[in-house]
Amino acid sequence: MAHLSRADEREEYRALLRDALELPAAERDAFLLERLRPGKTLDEARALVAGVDDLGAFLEAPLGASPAASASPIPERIGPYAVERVLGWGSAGVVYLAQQSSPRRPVALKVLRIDRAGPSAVDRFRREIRALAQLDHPGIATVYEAGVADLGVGEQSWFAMEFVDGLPLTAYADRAGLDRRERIALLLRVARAVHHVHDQGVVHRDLKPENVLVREDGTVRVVDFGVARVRDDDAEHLTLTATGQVVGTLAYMAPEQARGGVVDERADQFALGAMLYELLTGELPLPIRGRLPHDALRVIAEGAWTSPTRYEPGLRGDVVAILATALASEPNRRYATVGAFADDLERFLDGRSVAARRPTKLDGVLRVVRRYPLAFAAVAAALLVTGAVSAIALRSSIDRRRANAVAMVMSDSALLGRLRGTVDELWPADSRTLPEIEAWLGSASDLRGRFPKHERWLEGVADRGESPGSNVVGEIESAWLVQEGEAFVASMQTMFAPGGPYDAVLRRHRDAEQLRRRTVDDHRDAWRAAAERVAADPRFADLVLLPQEGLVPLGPDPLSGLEEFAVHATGAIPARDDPSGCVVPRTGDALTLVLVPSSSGLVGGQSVDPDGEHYAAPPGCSPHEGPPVRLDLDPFLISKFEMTQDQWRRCFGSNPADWDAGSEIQGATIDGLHPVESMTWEETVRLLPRYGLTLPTEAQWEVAALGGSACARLFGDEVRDCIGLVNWASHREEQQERYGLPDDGIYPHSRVGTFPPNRYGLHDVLGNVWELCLDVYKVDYHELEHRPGDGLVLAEADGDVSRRGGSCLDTPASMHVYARSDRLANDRDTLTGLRPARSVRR
Amino acid sequence: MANETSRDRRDLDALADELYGSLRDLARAALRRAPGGVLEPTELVHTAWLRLNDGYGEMHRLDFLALCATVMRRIAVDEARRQAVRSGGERVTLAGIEGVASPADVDLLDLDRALDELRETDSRWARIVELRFFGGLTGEEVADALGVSRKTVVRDWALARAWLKNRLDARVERGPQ
Repeated sequence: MAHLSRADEREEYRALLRDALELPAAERDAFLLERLRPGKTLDEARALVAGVDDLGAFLEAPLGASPAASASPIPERIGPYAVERVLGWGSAGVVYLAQQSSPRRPVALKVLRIDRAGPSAVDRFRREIRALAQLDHPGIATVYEAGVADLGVGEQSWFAMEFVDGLPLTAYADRAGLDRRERIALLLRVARAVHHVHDQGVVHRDLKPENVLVREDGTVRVVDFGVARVRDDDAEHLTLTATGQVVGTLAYMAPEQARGGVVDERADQFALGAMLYELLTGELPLPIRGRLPHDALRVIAEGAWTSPTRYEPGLRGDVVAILATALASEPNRRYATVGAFADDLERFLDGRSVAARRPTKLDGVLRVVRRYPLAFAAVAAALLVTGAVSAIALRSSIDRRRANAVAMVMSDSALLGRLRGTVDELWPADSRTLPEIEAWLGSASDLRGRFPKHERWLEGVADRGESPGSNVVGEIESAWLVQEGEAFVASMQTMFAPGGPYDAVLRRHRDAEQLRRRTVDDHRDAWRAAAERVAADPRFADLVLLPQEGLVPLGPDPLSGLEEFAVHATGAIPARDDPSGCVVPRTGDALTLVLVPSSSGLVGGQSVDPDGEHYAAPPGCSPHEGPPVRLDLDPFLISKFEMTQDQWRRCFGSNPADWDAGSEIQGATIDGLHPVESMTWEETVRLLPRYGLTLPTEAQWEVAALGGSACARLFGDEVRDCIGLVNWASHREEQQERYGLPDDGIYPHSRVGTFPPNRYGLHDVLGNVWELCLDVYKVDYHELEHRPGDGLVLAEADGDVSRRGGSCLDTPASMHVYARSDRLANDRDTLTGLRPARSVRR
Repeated sequence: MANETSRDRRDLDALADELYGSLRDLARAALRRAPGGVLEPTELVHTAWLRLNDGYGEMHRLDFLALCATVMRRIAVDEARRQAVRSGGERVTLAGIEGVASPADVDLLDLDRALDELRETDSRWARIVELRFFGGLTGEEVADALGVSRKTVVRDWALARAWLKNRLDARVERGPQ
């Protein structure tokens, strides 16, 4: 009846072993011999139990920690204090609750674990002691004493401070059931303490509710000065990566902190404003809840807050004005000091009028103008034309003329922005994009024609001086001039500078005009011949091959019989090698694409059934690499070689490769014919379309890699079948041992085309570098929907993309055509390159 | 936990995939902040909880930390691979990984593989290793996360380590000297 599942059996076994460990070491073996029958299980049990005795420090400490530190988690005494328990973790330290004997009082004891701390953490720790020692205010936790103690794991710095038995700010306010006024009064007390901190030349930089503790009696204590800065230090530009923001909290971070700008007292003011906002509305001023960090940082850097009246419609205008000032995105627009902020809160509580200016209608107008200059200009222009402008007080014809000029210059400034923004969209340089390129050039040269007039107007406004006059037009005029005028002029100069964006588009226009002639008209016969061969080839079903603008036919590969084409704009048209007749990689040559037949192909492999389809011998497929599914793919074009560093540099102007041309890696000299690597997926999919190219989908990649065979390892199913035929991690001795494979003597990636082609004439599909695919990486790829035609997996982007084919530092586990791997889209790594592809236009 | 269904497993894997990027960004930032400094899973994982938990709904803190442990393992192994590339080294011991300070003379990639094998044999033990070693969770936290007593965790933890040590030692003996 009682049938034991495998899991139950295992638990029984574990329990037995645990019992054995309860016994004195000498009796354990006998205990096991008695309980288990002779055999494998007994042998293993004895080995395990015996092994427990000589584990030593093996894996004892977590990755990254020193074993001693975690072996003695809580010291009994530090200096004159008896340690009770851990209160929390700091960036590189621990905070204990401890008892001082005389006077008898609880203290918070902060200990820096020198053994775990880098120099910057030691620095931070000293800084905190220094900062705190300077401060003497009832709102700041007092430091009693600092020292160094040897706790048996090396010396550790510590300091003892007042133990604050309180709740975090917001939790306290909720628990105590404070009303709106009381909440403001509470934050006022915090602001006074912070102002004192600033007066002593210290900036806290990590203010948040958790760092403001409130005792039961309502007294506040600001704590944790771990990232505080003493102002005497040189003014520092704090970037996110330099400040220890990993231990900070995004929610209260000022926009300039997120932007990596100068962080000073005004960042603390922002944090106070954010806490006040949260106290009053229960929400954060910037909508970052639920966002991942990089996204949240963007939102913070933009600094566009949600008006608090959205959550609390009853909030008084004065409070909104105070919040708007303290939370201004530009530090310059906040209160001059936290003291001024506190004064304003006090004025509000006393019922006096506050200094903070309520946002005016004009602020609103200007914000709109800044964000949507074009729309504004259009509306303004329309108002002018229809004469409706009088409604907003355009009293004289002079005003009307000025308004007209403003509208024109704003409209052109917006146009310039739009033109600059679309330069990178005017690709590829072919006949289909030609109309857009021409429209762009037309707008740009009109703009250039109007510019002298704008310049005269700008000078005129500047001459009229700072005083904007009394009417709306004057205010908008001067506000625009201050905020955008200079940028407009500078931007115009950049746009039309020699070699600037305008010149680049002119060149692109010339290329686009000529492309059709150079690739289609000049090669009519070759296209016709290619189309005839394709029509006669049963592998292509009923494909009618039309001339593909941008490609030059190179004729069929003598080995695969498949048509090959050069991508015209990417380099010189390759000549076929004599006598082999194959295209071989040469510096300066264009990309060569192979036309891959349509297929109703299986995608994915399996290692279960050696006689089944798409079998990969051990070490074979992981679960996410199968089971095989059938996908219908149209014919497509894919590069014969991995894209080289030479080609990437010529096409996109730089060489991102880590092992770049000219460098020497483990005795091998890299040159431009090595594959390009270390590009991000994002830039790759943004840049390739300039040449009418894209990344292959995983399905396309796999079909091309298989080359019409069903061999997991190109030349067979077994690992040994690719000995000497792919660039893989043969330098690893354990791999040589395990698979009986020789070291091929190549460590880094090799020139593309070093190893023999597959049956479609594609080189290096396995090994060398991983090749990026277009698909989002999905573990359950084979169970998801795929796009008809190219098999793209239909799944939402989540930052992970797929790559295929293994690399020169991968082992046979990745060395089969079904092997899949994921990578972050915005990552750069040495072992990932690409093999561009292109669809067939029909 | 021992009986987690494949469906649960898949959900967890999907979450882990999602978390991977965020956590790795944190790790990278931490490393950049203190060049030559130390990647500390305990700190990182707790920081991740503070920073990211909003994005993970109603997830229990321990579940989240446990998930982080899985992800930390992937990050550490990826980092080891990356540094194998950079240094041209063949064997990547924990001690040799930049930013990962540990005196343990263990090849991280071997450990990763052995851990996979252990999961086949005893998924509970493998889980404990992941939580404690890669996630930096304390014995108590592991006990809570797995719903077993602290005493059980202590013993199982020792046995799991013994299993891995035996496995790795055997591999070294078999390997070329």
